[in-house]
Amino acid sequence: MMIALQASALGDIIAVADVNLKHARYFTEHLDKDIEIYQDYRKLLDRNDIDSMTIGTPDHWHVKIAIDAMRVGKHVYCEKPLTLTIDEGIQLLKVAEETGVIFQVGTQQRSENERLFLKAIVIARSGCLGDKLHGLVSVGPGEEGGPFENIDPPPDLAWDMWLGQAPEVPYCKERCDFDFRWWLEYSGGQVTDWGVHHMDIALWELGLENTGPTSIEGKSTYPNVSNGFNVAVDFDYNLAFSDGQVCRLYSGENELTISGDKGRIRANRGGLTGKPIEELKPEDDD
Amino acid sequence: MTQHYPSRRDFLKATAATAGTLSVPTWWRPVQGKESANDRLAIGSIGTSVYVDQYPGEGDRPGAG
Repeated sequence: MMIALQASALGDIIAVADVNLKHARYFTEHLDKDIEIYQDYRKLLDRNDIDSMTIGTPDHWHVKIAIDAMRVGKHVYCEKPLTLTIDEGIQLLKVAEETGVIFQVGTQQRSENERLFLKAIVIARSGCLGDKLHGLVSVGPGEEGGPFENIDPPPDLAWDMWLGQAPEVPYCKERCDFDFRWWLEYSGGQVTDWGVHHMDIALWELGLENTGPTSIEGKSTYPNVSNGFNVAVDFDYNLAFSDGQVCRLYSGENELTISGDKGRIRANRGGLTGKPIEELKPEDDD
Repeated sequence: MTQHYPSRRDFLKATAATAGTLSVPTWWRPVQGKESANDRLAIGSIGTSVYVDQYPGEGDRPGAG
C-alpha cells in the first residue's frame, strides 16, 4: 500500500486490482477516492485511460504483470524484489527495451529515512574510508513455522489467481498476505526482502551498482517442515565481483557495514554510525 | 485437483512469446487524454500489499522490508 500512497502524490490512482477484494476495498477506503476495483489485473490493463502502473503483488507475480503492462504501453513502477531468478530479469529487460516504456524498480530505501543511506554512499565513495572497501550486509534470520492447516479460501480471495504460475496447492492463510515471503514458491525470505534493500545500498557504496556478482558461494540452513515455511533460516553468502571485490550477505543483525583501510561506517534505518560520521562538519549535511 | 507444475522459467517464456504476438507496439498507442507531458498521470495499482487479515487495524505490516 505504501508505494501506491507515494504514487498518489505524483498522479491520480483511478483503478486498483487485487485478487483479494477485501484488500482492494480497504485500499480504496483509505485513499478516500472513487477508485474502480478489479479482481483480475488484466481488466485494469485493458483501460486506455491509465498511463502507469504500480505493482505491489506477492513477488512471484511481479515479472508476469510487469511484462503484460509494458506490452500494452503502460509505464511501470514495481516494488522490490523485482525478480526471483536471473532468467526473469533477462525477460523483463528485453521487454522494457522493446517497448520503450519507463520502468522503475522500487528500491526506495535509497531516498527514504532522511537520506541517511545516500549520505553513507557519498561517504563511502568519497575515499575517506580508504581504497580497499569491503561490504558486510546482515539481515534478520528467516521465519520458521508450520505445518499449517489447509482450509477453504476466504470468499473474497481468488486463490487460483493468487497462485498464478506457482504450484497448485490448497489454501492456507500462512501462504499469503505478509507471510508469502517465507515460501520459496513465492519469494526468497530475508534474502529477497531486507537483503535487496541493504545489498542495493552496499553495491552502490562499493561502486558496483551497474554490475553483478560473477560467483556466489555460501551455506544456508533450511527448515524441513511439511506444509510449512521453507526459506533459508540462517545463511552466509559471499558474492564475488569481476574486479575482485567481495560482499558478504548473512543472517544476523539488520545493518550494513562498509569497511576500508581508513575507516568504517555502519547503517540501518535507525541511523548511520562510525568515526567518519562523527567527524562530519554540520555544513556537510547539506 | 489438476497437478500441473510448469516451471517459472517455462511460464515466463510462454508469456513473453504470447504477448509478443498479441500486443501492439507502444509507438502505435498514443497515451489517451494527455494534452501535455505535465498533466498528472492516471495510475492503476495492481496488488495492494494490504495485510488486514493478519494485521487488523494496520493494513501494512510495520517493519517490513
